Amino acid sequence: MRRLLALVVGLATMPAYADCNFDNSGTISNPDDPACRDTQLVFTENNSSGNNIALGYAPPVPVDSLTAVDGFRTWDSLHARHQELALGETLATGTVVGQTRAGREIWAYSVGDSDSETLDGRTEGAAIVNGGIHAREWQSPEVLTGLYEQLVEMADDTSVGQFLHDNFNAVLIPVLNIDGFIQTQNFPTRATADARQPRDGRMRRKNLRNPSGSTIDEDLNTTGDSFFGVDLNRNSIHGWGLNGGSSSNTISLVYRGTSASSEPEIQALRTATELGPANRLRLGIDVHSFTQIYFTPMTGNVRRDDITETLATRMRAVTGLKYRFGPDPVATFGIGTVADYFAYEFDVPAWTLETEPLNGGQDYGGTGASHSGFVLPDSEIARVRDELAETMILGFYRQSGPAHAEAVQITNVVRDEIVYEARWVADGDGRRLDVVTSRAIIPSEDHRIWVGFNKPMRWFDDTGALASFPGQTNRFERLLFQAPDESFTFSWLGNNTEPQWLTVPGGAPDGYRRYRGDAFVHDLDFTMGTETLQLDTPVSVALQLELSDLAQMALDADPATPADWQGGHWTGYEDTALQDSDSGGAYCKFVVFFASDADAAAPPADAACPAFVLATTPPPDPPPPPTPPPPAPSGGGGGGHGLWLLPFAVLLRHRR
Amino acid sequence: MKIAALLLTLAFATSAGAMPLDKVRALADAPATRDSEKRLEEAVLEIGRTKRNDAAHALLESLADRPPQVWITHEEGSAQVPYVDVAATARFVLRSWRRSDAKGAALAKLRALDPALIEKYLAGDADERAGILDALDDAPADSLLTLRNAAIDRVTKADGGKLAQALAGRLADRELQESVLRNGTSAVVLRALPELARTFGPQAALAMLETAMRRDELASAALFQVGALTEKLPAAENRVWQALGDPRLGATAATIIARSADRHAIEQLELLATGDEPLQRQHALLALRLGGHR
Ligand SMILES: [Zn+2]
Repeated sequence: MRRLLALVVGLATMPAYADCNFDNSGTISNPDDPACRDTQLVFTENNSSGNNIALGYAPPVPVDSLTAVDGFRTWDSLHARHQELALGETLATGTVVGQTRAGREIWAYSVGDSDSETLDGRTEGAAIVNGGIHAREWQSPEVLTGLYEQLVEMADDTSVGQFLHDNFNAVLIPVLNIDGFIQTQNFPTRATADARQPRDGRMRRKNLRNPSGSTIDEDLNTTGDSFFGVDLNRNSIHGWGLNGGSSSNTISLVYRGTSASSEPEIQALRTATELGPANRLRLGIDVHSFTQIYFTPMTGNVRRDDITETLATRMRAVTGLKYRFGPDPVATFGIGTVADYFAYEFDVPAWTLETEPLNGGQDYGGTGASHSGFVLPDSEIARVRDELAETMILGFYRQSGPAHAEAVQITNVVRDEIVYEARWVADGDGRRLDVVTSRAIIPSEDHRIWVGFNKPMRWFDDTGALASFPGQTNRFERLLFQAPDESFTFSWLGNNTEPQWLTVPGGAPDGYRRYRGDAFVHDLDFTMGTETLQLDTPVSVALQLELSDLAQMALDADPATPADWQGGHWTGYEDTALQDSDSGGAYCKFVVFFASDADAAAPPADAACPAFVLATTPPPDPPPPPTPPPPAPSGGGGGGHGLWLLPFAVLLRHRR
Repeated sequence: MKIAALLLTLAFATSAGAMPLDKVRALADAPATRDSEKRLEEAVLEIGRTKRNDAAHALLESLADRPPQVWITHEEGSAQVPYVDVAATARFVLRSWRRSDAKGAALAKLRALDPALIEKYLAGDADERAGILDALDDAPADSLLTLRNAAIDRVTKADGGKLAQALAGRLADRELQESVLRNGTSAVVLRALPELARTFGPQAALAMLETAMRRDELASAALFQVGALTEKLPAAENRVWQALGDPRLGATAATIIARSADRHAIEQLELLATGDEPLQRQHALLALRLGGHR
């Protein structure tokens, strides 16, 4: 009778859920009960009757199109698009890195030129970005593809895109869990089980591993195997099975598999890291949805962790800091996620990027139905794709390495003569400064300076006007000459004034070196009011340059030791005091001399940064404005499924 | 015992009219639990399906700003998400009522052959516009003719072409359709492409898809629709093969050909893959690779 009563109440009040039960870990505890297992759910725009789940907007259906559309593309056309962009292997190269559980080829793409050297003859840095590990998170393959398209489209932009093409290797895995992704696309409006934890069809998360050793079939109506599959984001070696972040229950959404790296998809991901190659990786991102946050392993390597947080801040700024920063507690070794693998295996900044929405479909005017956050409306994806491609590009730019002043030319305008010209040239493992010309700078006469850098230092908008990269601030602190005895000081720029950044090619004296915005010119007027400096003997003076690149990274103060990445931090990236650092500083290696006589001989070029510069450290990044913290857990959650009953601290560390 | 169950069923049946509102009030006032919030969400949706009166309206208005009461750690990560967002659900129901009101009013205007519906549509918000579009689906085709000329002159650009697209579809109006394909937003045209063959027949659809293919952002999607016509229309198949040497569309053509390549097509691709024309060669190779033949 009790059962009958429950049945009557159930029929009368609760159509779309209440057929599955949940254990304390939040896992469905009656998976063999047909009432739970065989329930077929349908996502709709407006219909909430029976087993329909109204989203309040049309559930996206994937479209065949190689090029980006206002919506989601089919796997077939996404894959063809990836292949198209790698045709000719001049802009990108595709590699089969493994097979899925069902035998589909998994591809990774190295985006950039085909050599592994920067134009300066150093070995390129690399990043790896993984997509589509969780099948239902459709935002992710679109974000990866959008990034790939942007990188290729920008490869000849004579700006940041071309710089990355020439000097950086971006390894992209657009879709790792192809089997699962196809399953979600074959059933774009359907799922099974329970509205509180919809499974399979559009809501499949895991791969197609059946514990029996076979492969889960792709028929949504044969539900005997629909709860199975391995959560590929719990199958990596670092933290596998640790910290309560995964499950050994084959039904669980976070089932970790029988052993670390047991799944062919995860083995393929490991193979893909070799395309960096692995020892050149400087950044790893695994793209998921949703909740709008960077879940970030903190490994306990203090320098790596600091760099990670600064990098994340700069990248989050690209989207106005609407993405939150969610660091894991330090050195907990993870829970077997891909981000844990990137962070602990390669000692690089790494995170799980959870895209929009923050809460669910209600963020776009939808009903906020459970799990609607996985079903981003068609109308939003183009924006999300573009915003995150821009974000990643800034991250790659930063991780490509710090900027240094590569060459300088100072011209006496009155005499139309070059008085100082120098450039850094390769010399064994390092560089040496090749001073081509060094003649007197005469303070009574007007001069002009041209300085070129190894990377584009400034960004230009669509009209070609000087701009800030989204979310960043251009910083030019000073261009200065100060006598060692402080008897004279000439200073320009600073206070938000910028020199003239060059946008035409040709190099000194009027063009950029390789990329728009990698060189500037500025007029040097040495008069002091009505006075003109008179010098009895020539004075050696270091040109002091203090500025940041377009991602707010300060200069490498000593290009003689080329900057690189090792052990989770920068190497050869000196600060103003020429000490090893991760923050750089003021640059004072171009040493000129001042004299009143044009034919004066050069004194010993022994000047360095002025004392006052040494005494000041470069200004830190301003703290980001506060962002909305994740809402506090509610106390109002009695009963029901225990996935949400785990202690909050444990969840904060381990769930993703 | 059986009688008790019967009585319960009867109780549901007799009080069904007042019950959802009372239930919503009681649940909204009670201490929130996951279970109560889920029941409240269901009850709000039930009101949306069954009860439409002033009291229901006022009740949902009162819930439309209610902050989520129960937050859960989502399975995706440690961030908290609302378990249920009753306010969002209430707003959805209120909006769907506005939409159905707009639909009713639009149907009345259509019956009266009142062309002022166009003005109403242009002045409307998203829900009102959606309701008017719903009405177009249900109205007799001849009542739509009054709107047609106004639509072709004015509406295509004003709303991205949604209304004109609805009319073009219902009226199978080629001129209007061509206008939408040229001037509508990408999003509107993208959704229209798969409907062209059904509405206008394959031959006319092929010509229209040529129009769409002139738009860079839609060219690939349009060629895929040409690909869907190849079984009925030899001209469509020719068009796809012709695109194989096109820098913009060659990879799309390769994808289409790879999907259904028979022995003859594979031979043709093999031939092109060793030919002199570099783009054809590249895309023929791509088709062979995508089809698993290389
Ligand atoms: Zn995920």
